[in-house]
Amino acid sequence: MADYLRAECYKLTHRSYLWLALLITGALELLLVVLFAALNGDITNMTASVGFTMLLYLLPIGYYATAITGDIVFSEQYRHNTLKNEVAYGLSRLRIYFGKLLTSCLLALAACAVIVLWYGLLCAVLLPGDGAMLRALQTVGFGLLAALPVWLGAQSLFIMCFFVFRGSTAATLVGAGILAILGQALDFLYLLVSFRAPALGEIVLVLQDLLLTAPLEGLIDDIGNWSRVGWAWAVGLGWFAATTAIGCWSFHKREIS
Amino acid sequence: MSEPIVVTRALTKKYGAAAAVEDVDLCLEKGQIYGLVGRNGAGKTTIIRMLTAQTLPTSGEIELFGETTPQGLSTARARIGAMVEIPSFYPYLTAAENLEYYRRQRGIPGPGCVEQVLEQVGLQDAGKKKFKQFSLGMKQRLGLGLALMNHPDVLLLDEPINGLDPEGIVEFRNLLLDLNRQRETTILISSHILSELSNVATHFGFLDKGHMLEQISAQKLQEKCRACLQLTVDDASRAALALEQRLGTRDYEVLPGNVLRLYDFLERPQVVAATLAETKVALLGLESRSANLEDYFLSLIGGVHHG
Repeated sequence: MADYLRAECYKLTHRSYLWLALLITGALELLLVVLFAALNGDITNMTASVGFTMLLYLLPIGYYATAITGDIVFSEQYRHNTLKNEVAYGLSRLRIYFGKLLTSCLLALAACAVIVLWYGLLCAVLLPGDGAMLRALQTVGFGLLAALPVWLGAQSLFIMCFFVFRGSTAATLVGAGILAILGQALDFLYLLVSFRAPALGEIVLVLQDLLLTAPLEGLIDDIGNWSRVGWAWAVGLGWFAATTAIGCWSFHKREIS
Repeated sequence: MSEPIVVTRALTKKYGAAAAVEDVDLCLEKGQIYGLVGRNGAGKTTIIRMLTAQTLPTSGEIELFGETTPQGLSTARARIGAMVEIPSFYPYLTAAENLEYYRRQRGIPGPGCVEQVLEQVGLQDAGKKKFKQFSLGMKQRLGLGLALMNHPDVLLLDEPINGLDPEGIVEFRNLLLDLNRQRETTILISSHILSELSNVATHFGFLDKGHMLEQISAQKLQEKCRACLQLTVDDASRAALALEQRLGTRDYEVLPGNVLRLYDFLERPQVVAATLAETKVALLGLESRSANLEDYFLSLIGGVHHG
């Protein structure tokens, strides 16, 4: 597996897609902080700590960013038909699946670290200091502790989609659809059933709590509540395990052609 | 007795009700160059795809280096180099980067092996050109390079000379022969270009509509395809006697239906006809015959179709 991970890292670092994605994200962060700085005046006073804490509002973007890290790692294997080179050599399908999954998780974590550090640096340099940066770091750190597991769950979901669907566009749309629409659909279902069948409504509420997006909703008002972090880890790991099982099962007997 | 390396027993692959390959028994022994011959859709690629785990057999058994269990087959496949259909690589990487990626993935030691392989397949000057800019011939060369990178004991090559220029075909042929002679690499090769196959193969397997029609050694095939005079007479035993006593040759065979195949006097059929006339043997037909791999294959398919 170590060889597989080394090879995947070699491939993704030789891909301009990765560097371009990081460059664009970095540029957008710069634009945002420059905008904060430019708007500073009589009405608003965006300090470095407040600007850095604004990162909490951006955490849900992380779900969708995993579509990009997944795509970078999976590299349109079906379109380029490169999986045949791996199975023909006798690499087990389980190793291939877990190799891609682990690489994408490692990439997502590394990209997250780079993006957060760059944003923090921009805030510290471009926005006025207020002596509360340590507190802001604690707040953002707490938010990241809750966000990381559900992001990993989302990463596993997208990798499953990339293995199940032949086209990366279809896979991305399905993955994003599950993240974005499932919650709305359950809201709608709750409205439909809660009056006539309250018990069913309760079940829908429980299902809503199990969605990947649920633990980050209202997180800003719940900083310091460790039960939310526990909930996020339970949901994230649950999705990780379930989507990995489905993906492995689907890929196990798949025709490589 | 030679060591069987790739064996299939009653190998079958069905897509719905249609069988792409049915009950194929194939045996590839160490050191052989096995030419798999068949028309489009005969099942050649499907067999190679099953051997390389790209598709699972519907039934039947695959044995590689004596291994038949899934775990054993996985281990055995690391001793095989394969090139199946059009070579596929990452389009945004160069030839060297693509090979380096697979070298790391397979845990093959020594980064120098990439340069060595590139030189072996004539891609040492590909430089920074990305795979997406490669010609078909270059892609074929890179595919062969990947197949050779792990110094395989067996090479499975599916239509490997497609897209190669004449010079490339000669280089490719020489490379295969070198590998076979120097490293005893066993090779299974499928190709539409039968004349090319006949230049390298030591054994042949003829496939049609998913069925293995015949497996034969090149030597046996050569004997079967030998140039001859085919004589149809009224009495084969008297004709044979005349050939031996009057013409002094024993280089003939008697086939059913009063047919003799004479492998002598090829340039002088009139002498044969005159001799038979002198001994009162009625010569009902005289035909000069010679066959190559293509003719043999076509006759085999024709035989199946009409028989």
